[in-house]
Amino acid sequence: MTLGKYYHIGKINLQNSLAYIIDFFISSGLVIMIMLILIALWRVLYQDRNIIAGFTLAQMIWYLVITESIVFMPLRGIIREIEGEIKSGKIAYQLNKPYNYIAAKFFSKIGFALLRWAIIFTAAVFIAWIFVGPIQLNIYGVFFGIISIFLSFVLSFLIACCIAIMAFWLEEVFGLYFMYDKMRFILGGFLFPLDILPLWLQIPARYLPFSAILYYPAKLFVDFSPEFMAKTFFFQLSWILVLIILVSILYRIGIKKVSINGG
Amino acid sequence: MYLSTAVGTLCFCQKGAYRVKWHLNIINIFKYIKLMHKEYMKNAIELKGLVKDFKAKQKDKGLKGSLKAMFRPNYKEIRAVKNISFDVKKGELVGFIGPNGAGKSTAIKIMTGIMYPTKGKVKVLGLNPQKERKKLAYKIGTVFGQKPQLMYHLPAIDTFYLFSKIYEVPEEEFRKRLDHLGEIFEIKDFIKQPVRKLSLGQRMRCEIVASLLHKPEILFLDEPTIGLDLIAKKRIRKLIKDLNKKEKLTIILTSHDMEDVEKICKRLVIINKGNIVYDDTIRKIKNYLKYKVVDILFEDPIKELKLKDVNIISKKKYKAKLEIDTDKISIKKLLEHITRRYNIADMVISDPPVEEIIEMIYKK
Repeated sequence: MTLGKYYHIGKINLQNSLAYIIDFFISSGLVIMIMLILIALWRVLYQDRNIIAGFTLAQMIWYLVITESIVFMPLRGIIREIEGEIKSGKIAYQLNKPYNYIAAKFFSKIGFALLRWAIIFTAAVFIAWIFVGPIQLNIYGVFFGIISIFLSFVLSFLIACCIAIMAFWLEEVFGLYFMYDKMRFILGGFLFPLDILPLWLQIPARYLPFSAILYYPAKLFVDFSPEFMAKTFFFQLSWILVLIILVSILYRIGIKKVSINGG
Repeated sequence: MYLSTAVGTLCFCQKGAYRVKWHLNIINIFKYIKLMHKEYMKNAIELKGLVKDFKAKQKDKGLKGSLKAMFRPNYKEIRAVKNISFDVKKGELVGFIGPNGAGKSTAIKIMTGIMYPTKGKVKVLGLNPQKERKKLAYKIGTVFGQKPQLMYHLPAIDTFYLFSKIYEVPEEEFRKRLDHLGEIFEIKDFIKQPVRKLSLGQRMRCEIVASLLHKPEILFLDEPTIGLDLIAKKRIRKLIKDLNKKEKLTIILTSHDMEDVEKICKRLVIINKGNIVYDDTIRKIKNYLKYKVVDILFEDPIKELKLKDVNIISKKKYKAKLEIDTDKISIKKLLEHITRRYNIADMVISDPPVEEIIEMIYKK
């Protein structure tokens, strides 16, 4: 019954957000443009060699398809929404419902996020297919890769919550988001796999949550191996656990500070 | 506990007959009856010494002030609720009124558990609203006039269904309940239209239905008539009154419109500047309502306005505002006086605003 509650929250929010379907397609247009630029860029780099950091050109482009589709998950929107609800005090009106606020937020966003992911993913795959052709994909790689992409959504969501909840103490949380976003670009392996980085940077980057969001699922998808899969799930699940604890502590302290404007 | 008291009383009757004088037993029995009575008349809400402070950031003017506030934020404590205590019995319909910023909404938000009090004891249905918020959530319904709960792009029925899931109402019961409420509130015709296409009055009726699906024991209504036109207001008022009468629902209502409360509540609590200034029956407040404010628009310019027993608040070329005491001069008499002497274009008779009633209470 409890989970059923959240299922229905997810379903109805998905229906409600379908009113904004146009936004989906605009962002997939943007993804196509970025993909084209990246493909041109990597073509130049691959001019006089076949393999960079263990990736062929086709693998590299397919890797970018995955990271691209993950980066476009609607994180900013989630942060803005929670932050707005905290600042205006609207969060309070949801406290007297018999559900967990964070869990309800998660389920109300997941349908929209996954649908959007699927559209962007399809657009990116389409471009990759035309320009570099298919690559040899392992069926396990695809299957576990998708599970791991799902986990990276969970992880991104929790980080977004952490950032948004800071609105209880900070006037402006988008500075934090900006920092997180840039870290994700470099240490998360958004524009290139971590393998390219020098070792002194690569090793810490592998242990940080940013790579658990982008690098691990994307590499698992294009270059499957059981050991790598074990590593991926280990890092993702441990970071999820750590962040769940962090979010619930922050939330519990923060919620006592809630004050409602115009009350 | 009551059982043991009863047994104790009985035993005491038997033994005590020999030892203690018999009238002491009767006192004990009275105590027991009182206890039973207390259980029967159990309070739905108990508030004791409620205080709520808000911290507000202070900033000096200009860029310099902004920079200073960044490094050394200066907070000012604002006491929104100073000291509020009252009880609400089961089945009561209580109206809270007060001007904007009086603290009535804050009080409601503390009772429903969405805000933490700074000091004081709160018990709603025997529960602590802050600590047992989820448990309480199943037993109360809330409607905040300024914060719609219905999904904007979807028909109301979708939100109703979602709420039935959130509150864990069985499917069969939900259907019956919605059928019943749909009839009372007359919302069946537009329940399948997207909420954004409904009028404000229709939306408010749907909001109230949404908060009643799980059969709450107490219904909190915060400004349910805000922004509604006269007919819609009237309709909502009647519905609220019926809910209290027929369903025996305890209802707490806030408004800044005296008429809302006057028309439907038996008990009235007036809050001003964080304090309760009046807590009694509506009948007693009617003494203050004998004052009426009359706005008149004249056809021709008037030079002087002379009326007996009338307090002229303001006077312009074509307009005048009067205050009358209906004990001294009846409305009928006033009308006669005015129409005989002047050519009037329009006239509005209204109750004085809450602020003035509060002022009158203070003066007395």
